[in-house]
Amino acid sequence: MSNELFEKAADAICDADVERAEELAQIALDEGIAPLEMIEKGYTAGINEVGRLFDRGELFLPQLMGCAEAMKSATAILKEAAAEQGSESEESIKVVLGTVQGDVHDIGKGIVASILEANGIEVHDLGTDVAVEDFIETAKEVDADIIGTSALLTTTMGVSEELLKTLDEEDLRGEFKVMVGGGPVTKRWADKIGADGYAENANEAVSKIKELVD
Amino acid sequence: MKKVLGIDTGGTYTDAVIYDYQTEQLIDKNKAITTHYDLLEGITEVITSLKQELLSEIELVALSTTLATNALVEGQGARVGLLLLGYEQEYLEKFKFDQQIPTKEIRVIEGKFDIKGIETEPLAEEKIKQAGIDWQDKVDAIAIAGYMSVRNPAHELRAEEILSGLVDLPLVCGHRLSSKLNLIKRATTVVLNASLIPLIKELCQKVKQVLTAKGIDAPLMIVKGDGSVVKDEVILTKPIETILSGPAASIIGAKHLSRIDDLVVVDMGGTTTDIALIDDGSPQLATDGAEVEDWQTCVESIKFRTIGLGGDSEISLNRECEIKLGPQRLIPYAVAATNYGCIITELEDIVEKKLEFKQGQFLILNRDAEYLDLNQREREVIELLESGPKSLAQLKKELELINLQFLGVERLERLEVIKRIGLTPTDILHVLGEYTHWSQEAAQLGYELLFLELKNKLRYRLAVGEANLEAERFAIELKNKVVKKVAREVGLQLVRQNSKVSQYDNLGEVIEHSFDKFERFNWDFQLEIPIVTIGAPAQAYLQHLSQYLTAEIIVPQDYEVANAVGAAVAKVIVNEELLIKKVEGSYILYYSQGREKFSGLNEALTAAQELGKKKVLEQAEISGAKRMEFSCQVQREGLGSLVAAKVICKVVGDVI
Repeated sequence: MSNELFEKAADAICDADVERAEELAQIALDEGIAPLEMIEKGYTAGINEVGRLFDRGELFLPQLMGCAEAMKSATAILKEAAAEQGSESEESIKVVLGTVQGDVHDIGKGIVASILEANGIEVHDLGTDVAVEDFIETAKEVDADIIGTSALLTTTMGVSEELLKTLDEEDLRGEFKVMVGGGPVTKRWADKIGADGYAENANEAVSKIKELVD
Repeated sequence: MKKVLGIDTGGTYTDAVIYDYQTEQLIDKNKAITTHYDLLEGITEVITSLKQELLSEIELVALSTTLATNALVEGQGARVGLLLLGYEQEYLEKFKFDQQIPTKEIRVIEGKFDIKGIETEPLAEEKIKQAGIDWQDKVDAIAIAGYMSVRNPAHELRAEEILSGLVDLPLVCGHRLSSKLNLIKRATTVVLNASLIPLIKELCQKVKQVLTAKGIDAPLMIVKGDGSVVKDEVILTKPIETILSGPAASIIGAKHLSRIDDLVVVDMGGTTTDIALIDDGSPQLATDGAEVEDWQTCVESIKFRTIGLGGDSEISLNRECEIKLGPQRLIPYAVAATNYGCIITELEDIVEKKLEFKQGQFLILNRDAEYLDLNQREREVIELLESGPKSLAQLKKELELINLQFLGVERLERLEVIKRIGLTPTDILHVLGEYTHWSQEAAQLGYELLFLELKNKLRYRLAVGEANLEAERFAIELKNKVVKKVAREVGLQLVRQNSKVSQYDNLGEVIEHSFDKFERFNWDFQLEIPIVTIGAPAQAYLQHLSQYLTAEIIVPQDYEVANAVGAAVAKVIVNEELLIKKVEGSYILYYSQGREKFSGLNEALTAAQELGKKKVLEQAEISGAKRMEFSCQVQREGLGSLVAAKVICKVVGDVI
C-alpha cells in the first residue's frame, strides 16, 4: 500500500503537479506513514529522476523549476508534521549560496538552490551580485556548512578566490567548505584556487555537498 | 684574523667553537652542560674552558639559543595586551579563537580593510587610547594585529602611532612579522613575540656582560629559525624569529662540515634527535609556520622532525618486558659515577640484593630551591639529597614509602632542582667498550641490573629455553635498537615529504619491514643522497644507520659541535616578497610597508624591483651584513588568477 503511495508521490514530482503532491502528502499523514519515510522513498526518488531527465536534456528548465516547486510544498507539509511528532531528523546541512559580486546571472544558481532544497538541504540564497563579506557574514550567522559561489563571467570568477583568501585571513577555512560553480569554472581551476569542491551541475552539487559534509 | 666565536645553547649541552674565516678552520671547540634555569652559567663555563689567549682576537660572536622556545614551552613570557583590529567579539568567542591566542587581555577594536586593501570600516581611535590608558600598568608589552594588515597596514601603523605617544611599553605590529593571510595566527605570533621581548633583551645584555668580563670585545649576532643571523639589536624587536633556531644551526653546521648541498641531516643530542632534508643547499621551510607548544604561529622555520631519543635518554622496561627508549632524559650512570663514587657502591648493593631495575635509579640535587614554596615531602627529599645522590631504593627505605609512586618529586624534577641518574644509551657504549671516557664500572652495574630483571621476568613468562639471553649480545641488541629507531624516523620523514604516500596508515611498520632480510627478495630503503650525522653520539650510533638504510653515511670531523659551527658560519639572509595584483584595470603593488597603484604592469614590475632591492639591502645592512650578494626573481606563472606577478628579492651577506 505505502509502496504505491511512494510511486504516486514520485510521479507527482515528475509531473510538476503541486496540488497533487500536496494532496499525497496529506494522504500519507492520514494513513500514518512516517513523514520522513514518505519524503525519502517518495518525493526524493521523484526529484532524483527529475534531475536525471534534466541532465539528459529530456526535461527543460521551466519544468525543472516546477518540479522543484512541487517538491518544496509537499516536503514542507511533511516536515512540519515530522517536527510535531518530534521525529525531526538530524539537523539539515546548511548552504549559503549566491552569484558573486559584479555578476547578475541568476538562473544557474537558482536551479542549484531549488535542487538543493528539494534534497532537504537548508539553502540561504543571497541572490546575485553578492560581496565576499556578505557571503562570510551570513555563513557565520547561520553556522553554514558550505559556501557556494556561482560566476558566469571570466571577469568575476576571481571573486571566489578572494572569498577563499578572506576566509584564510579569518582562519575560517576549516569552518566552512567552499564550493564553486558556473559556466567558465572548471574542476582544474577550482583545485588551483584551493576550493573544497566543484560541481558541474545541480545533481552533482548535491552529492558533492553530502560528501564534503560527511 | 677574522675569528668568530659560535655558541649554541639550550639543548642538553652548550657548545662553543672558535672559527677562523680566513683559513676556514676550526681553531678550538668545547662543550659544557646547559643550565636551563640560567643559560648564562653554561655559557660562562663553555667560554672559560676555551683557549683564553684566543678570546681577545675574536671579532664577532654568533649565538644560537632556544631561550625563546623554552620560555614559551614553560609559559614564562611577559604579560601582553592584544589589540585585535577589525574583528567581532561575538565570532571570536563563537569560533573559540580567543582560546587560540596566548593572552587573556584582548581588546576588539573596529576598523578593517577588504582583501584588496580598501578600507571598509574606519578605525575606532578613541578605543585604542582607552586601551592604552587601561593597560599602562597591567601589561609589559602591547601587540597590535589588524584585519588584512598584510594588504594594508595603515590601521596597525596608526594604532602604533597613537599608543607610542601614550604609553612607555614595547609595541609590536602584525604586518612586520608576517606577510601571510591569517589574522588569528598572526595575532598569536604578535602576542608571543611581544611576550618574549623582555626575556631576549635580558639575555643579550647578560651575554654581553659575560663576553666583556672574558675580554671579548665584539658585536653579538643571533641565529634565527630560518638559519640566518642578525645583530642582537634587530632580534630585540622580533625575538619570536629565534624559535627553533637550534635545529636551524645544526643544519647549517652539517652542511658546512660535510660540504654537501643535497643531504639528510640527522642531529642526535642528549635528549632528542632532529631529522631534516636539504635540497640544493637550502632547507625546506615549513609552510604552515612553526608550532610551539600548542600555539600555531606564522613564523617561518626549517621543516624538521624531532624524536625524543638521544644519548642520555632513559632506557626503561615496561610490564610486557619490552625495552623503551626515551623520551625522559637522565644523567648516565657512567657520567654520574665519575663524580660520585658512592653510586658504584650502592649499585653493587642493589645488584646483590636483586632489587628492581627501577629502584636502581638515583636522584641528585642540581640547584638551590630556596625561592620555592616547598611541601613537606619535597623538603624531606632535598634534605636527604644534600649529602649526595641517593638511589630510589635508599629513598624508599628512608622515607618509608610503600611504593615509589608516592615519591612526589615531579615538580622538583621539572624545575631541575633535582635530576635523575639511570641507564642510558651512553652507558651501553661503555658496556660495549666503545666509550671509555667515564666510569665503565657503573655502566656495567646498571646494565646488569636491567639484564637480570629482564631475564627473570622472561623466565617467568616463557619457557626456559627462550629466555636464554646472553649479556654481551643483548647489549649489542640494545644499541641496534637505538639505531633502528632513528633509521625508522629518517625513513618516515623522507616518505612524508612525498605527501601522497604519507596518507597510508602504519607507514612506520612498513618502513621497519624493509629493514628485515627476506629469503627470495630484497626490499631496501635506498637513499639517493647521503646522510650526514652530527651531535655527540653520532660517531657511536648513527654511523651504523647503514645497517638498515642503504645510504652513504657521513660522520664529518667536529660532528659533536656542529651546532656551534652552524652559528659561527651562518649568514645574513633577507627576503622580501612583493605581489602585483590586477584590480579593476590597474595594477596594485603590495609590499611589507604598504601598497601602491600603477596603470601598467611593466611600471609596477620596475617599481617592485627597485623598491624590493632598496628594502632588502637596507634591512641586510641593519642586520649586520658585510659583502652583500643581491638576487631578484620575477614569477609570472602559477600564481592563481588574482596575482599578476610576484617579485622575490633576496640578499645574502657575510657576517665578517
